Amino acid sequence: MSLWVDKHRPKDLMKLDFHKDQALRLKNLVQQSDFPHLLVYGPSGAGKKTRIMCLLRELYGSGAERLRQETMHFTTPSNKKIEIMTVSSNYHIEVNPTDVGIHDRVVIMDLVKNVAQTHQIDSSGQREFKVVILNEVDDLTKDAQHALRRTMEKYVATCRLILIANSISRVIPAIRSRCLTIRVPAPTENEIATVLHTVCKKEGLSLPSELAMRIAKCADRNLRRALLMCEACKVQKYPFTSDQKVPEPDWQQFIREIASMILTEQSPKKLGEVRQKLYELIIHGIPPDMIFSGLLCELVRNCDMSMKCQVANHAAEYEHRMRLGNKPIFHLEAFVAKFMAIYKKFVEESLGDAF
Amino acid sequence: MQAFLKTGKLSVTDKPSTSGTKTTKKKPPAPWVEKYRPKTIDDIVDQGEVVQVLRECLSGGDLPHLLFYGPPGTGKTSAILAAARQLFGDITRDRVLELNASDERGIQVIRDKVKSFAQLTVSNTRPDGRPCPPYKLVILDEADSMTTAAQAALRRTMERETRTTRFCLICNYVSRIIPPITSRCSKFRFKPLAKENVIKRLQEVCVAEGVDVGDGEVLHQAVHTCDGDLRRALTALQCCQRLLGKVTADGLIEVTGLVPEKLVDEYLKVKNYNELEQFVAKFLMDAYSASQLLEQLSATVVNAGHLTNKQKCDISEKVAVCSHRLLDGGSEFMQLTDLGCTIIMANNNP
Amino acid sequence: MQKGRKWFKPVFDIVENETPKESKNIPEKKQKVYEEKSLGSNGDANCKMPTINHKNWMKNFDPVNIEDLAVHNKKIQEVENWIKDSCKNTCNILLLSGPVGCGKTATVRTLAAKYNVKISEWITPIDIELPTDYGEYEFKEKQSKKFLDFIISAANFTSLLDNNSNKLVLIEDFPNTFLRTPSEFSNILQQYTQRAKSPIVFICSETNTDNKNAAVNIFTTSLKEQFLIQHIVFNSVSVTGLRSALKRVSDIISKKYSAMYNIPTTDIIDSVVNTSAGDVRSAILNLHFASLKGINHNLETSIVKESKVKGKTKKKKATNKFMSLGKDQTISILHGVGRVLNPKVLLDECGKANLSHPPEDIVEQFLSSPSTFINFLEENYLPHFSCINDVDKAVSTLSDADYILAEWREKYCQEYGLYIAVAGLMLANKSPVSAWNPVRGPKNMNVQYPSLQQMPLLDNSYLYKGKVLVTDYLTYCKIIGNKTGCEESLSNEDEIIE
Repeated sequence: MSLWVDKHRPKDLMKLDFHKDQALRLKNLVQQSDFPHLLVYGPSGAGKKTRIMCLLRELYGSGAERLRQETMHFTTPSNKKIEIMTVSSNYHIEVNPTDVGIHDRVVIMDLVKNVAQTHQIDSSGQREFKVVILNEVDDLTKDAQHALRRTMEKYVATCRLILIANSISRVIPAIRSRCLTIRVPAPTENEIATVLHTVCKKEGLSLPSELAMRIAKCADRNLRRALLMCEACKVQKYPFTSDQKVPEPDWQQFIREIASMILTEQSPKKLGEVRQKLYELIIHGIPPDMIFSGLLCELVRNCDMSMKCQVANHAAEYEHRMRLGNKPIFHLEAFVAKFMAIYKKFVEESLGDAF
Repeated sequence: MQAFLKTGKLSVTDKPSTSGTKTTKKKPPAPWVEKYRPKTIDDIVDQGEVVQVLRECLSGGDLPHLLFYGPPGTGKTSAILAAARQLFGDITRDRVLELNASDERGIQVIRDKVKSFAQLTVSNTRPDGRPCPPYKLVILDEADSMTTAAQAALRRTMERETRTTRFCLICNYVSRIIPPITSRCSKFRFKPLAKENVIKRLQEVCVAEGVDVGDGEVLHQAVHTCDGDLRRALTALQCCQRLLGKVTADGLIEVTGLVPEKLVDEYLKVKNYNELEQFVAKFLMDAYSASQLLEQLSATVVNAGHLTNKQKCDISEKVAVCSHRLLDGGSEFMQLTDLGCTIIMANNNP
Repeated sequence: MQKGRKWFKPVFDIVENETPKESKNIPEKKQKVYEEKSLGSNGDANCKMPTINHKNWMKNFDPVNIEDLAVHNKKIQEVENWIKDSCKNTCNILLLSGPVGCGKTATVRTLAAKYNVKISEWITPIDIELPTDYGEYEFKEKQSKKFLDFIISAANFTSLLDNNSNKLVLIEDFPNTFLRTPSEFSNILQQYTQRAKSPIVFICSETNTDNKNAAVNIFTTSLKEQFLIQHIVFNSVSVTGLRSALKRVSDIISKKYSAMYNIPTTDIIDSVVNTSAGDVRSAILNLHFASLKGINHNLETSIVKESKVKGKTKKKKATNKFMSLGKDQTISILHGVGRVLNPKVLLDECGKANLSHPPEDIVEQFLSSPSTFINFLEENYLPHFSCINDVDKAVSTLSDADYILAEWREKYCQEYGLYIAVAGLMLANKSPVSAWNPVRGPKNMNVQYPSLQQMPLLDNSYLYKGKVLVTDYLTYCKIIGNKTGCEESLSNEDEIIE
């Protein structure tokens, strides 16, 4: 029994539910004699991976769908052994190089070298290159990105890279200019609702369109989340009613709780409690920048414009530092403390005005 | 992985669904940028002075150390490569050392590789007896990304090996080259290319590649989106051609990753926080690049007629700060929100 | 002197001071000779000369009886039992470890004297050999080989001058080669247990830095089990232990050497105890210098003067005076955290406020591991604050510090980063909370992404990204996973009914 998300993933470029013209273009691309390196970018849950898997099928036929998981081992120059999960078929291999942290450069270099150095002896009836898919390229270290640039040029004869990123702001221009960039915007709410309807129809369920719209709204234009929400709704209550509760990701609720804690009391003691909660979020792997933006959205609700401006300014500043520093919690806490100080002053002043 | 590395053979049943799979091996076509690089210095678009100097060298004069600087895509690399080809002909490979930013170019490389190359002596005849200039050429592309230490190491080498070696440094920002080096070179500024010339060039390429560009309006668009950068324009055209099979204005915007002007204006006119929040969310969901937005925004702000100097000042300052943070990897959402707040404040207090 | 010979020929040398008693007597006599001389010729002023020249003056104060040892009784008891046992049993191995100067060697020597056991000690020879004519160095013998030869012969053969007492081999000066090749060491122990007939004692000083800690690196647990090595860990000497040891020393002084030393006052003893951090050897050394006549005269009077001016701060001043004499002040991280979070402000004569522990000093202490220290500070600073505005200032300096520390390539950034955090925290707190807060260690912040096993619903052959798993899948997989179980059983029931 697999999740709807996996079960109903389109397998063919022409069966994709949205951005159909783009799919057509990709199909054209495959039919041309040369296939460039690709850089596919777009927000989470926009269907980047789905699109790429379809593309691979288009390139290699259904052989590209026979996947297996393997753990690969690498040795860093400092003799540290690292291992990383890969998923591969006969024609491609996929990794998350960011899983190994600062050693990502080694993984990328070795992996691409391994793949590229095995030439295909008999290339009739298939492509003369293999494909390496790298996830989360925007989170790679600068070092790894620079290494990637040289690797891309060196092994272009036997291997193509498909890079996946959430945004290209953090991908160095040298890589961008070597790839054909493909932007995958998130689906609109209407598109999500349509997909939900199709999936429910396939499952033999009837979905009220109000509920579909509500799920689409809650999902932040993230199709994966929308499908998961829909399935969770079905599990919680079926037949669907149009006003039933749509479960939210628990970490979002958690952030909301933290925000309301901050708004109720501004004291060192409260900050201590907030810190414990933040620890919990970080340890569970919620990316700190998502915590930051979540907090910012929740906190500025009750502020006037000048205060919003101040808060946004500080948030941006601390977030930037967090990116460069080592300890996310320091900067998150500094932001919360800053907000508490600003908010307390604001409350005291407005109380003073009232009297 | 093992299985993956083995040659995966396709069985008959799962033949690729595409009909276009070519069975004959074909060399992947070169990028247009390489394919249509000027072959001789007379093909260089626009840069009069430089071409003049190079022409004199070709007719027998000595070549000074050169420092080419100017915006990207104005033909700096093309000029020196064409000159080198004309100077050395078929022995170019032995006489020219080209290093660009993707090669290792730390201080060690300058010391070892460049120095040992520079120390080789060369005769003034070619192997087949024809005369050629008695020196070698070292081209350091993207020299502004070299470390100061490496540049300092270069200084000594440049001076000592003048007898047998000429250096040509190519960079975008001359201010990033240390003064001792600039004083040893003759400097040439490459002007941004004139629009008509770029269009003419693009037209030639399009005709050669058999691309239909209609009445040429698209080419205007291409030049506009690429700020007179010929290389970017060519790359964009090629990508567009590859992806869409034809060249259209929208396609160009898509492949260059530009943010539509409409969105830039919308961002600049944002009035209150709610609007801002919605705009930022939508902007990021559509996967546009924030750093690109800032780049375009700063051009728009400077030229905007409806803003006072003070507003321009405030916004530009924040743009600078935010794009620095973005470069360091800051979250796009945060930086756009921050900048947006500044814009709102500026809009509300002219 | 006899002692010098040890360096050259450790093998069959007759070890001096077979019994501490004897060795103690010799210098004592000599001492007196010197004293008489100096007294006779020059009087008080030149009194220091002979003492400084005299090499073995520390021996004057060596413990004679077990009661004199400053070590905890229980530990002495353990060692004593072991020595008693090993007199019968042939080749026991004992490992003593503990901080510097906690009396490990003294304990062994004193006890050996008590049971009339002869000690042979290994001292690593300096193996610089002169180059041959061809300019090459020729090493005649490997150090480990020499070591093995020594310990076995020392254990098996009795000295001619000895009257058949029991023997004990003592290794305090550990040959460096074993730090590099621990396997070689276990070979040697193997041979020793097979061939030797006497017990052997290893003494390892524990240092703060782990990488040179012989006790940990060489004597691994497996090694200890293999050779049945008994391991006794000494703690640093307690304050009372130190004080009584120093009392004893001052008694000896007053009895025998009053001509050379001033009889130390309790003040001096206290300050010596304070600065020596549980190190008996350095405490006695300090006491020795502090109470020397002549040299110390000025120091002493200055202390007295100050104590007249400011009765209250006398002790503190005295301590400060001895800071330069005392041990290198290594304060623990917990101490440092305390000093930063509870800054004490002293007013000087002009009414200017000064911190009792200036940030520079604290920064200096923790320069080797700035980020660890800052992690501790961050974990613990919050309960000391009462006002959110102060917290804001404090935590923003911490954020600055983390940002600066991230630039690990630049040496100064480490120092500045630490300084910003320390000084910032010390100065930010305008209204501190005075309450006792235990110091907590920093949290382990390793992100733990859920594994595929925890989420059986996921597709095995699909590569999930950690972030996406957490942000999207986790919540819903829980909901869906929980309910599907029940539902399946329900649907089964339905079928049965039908």
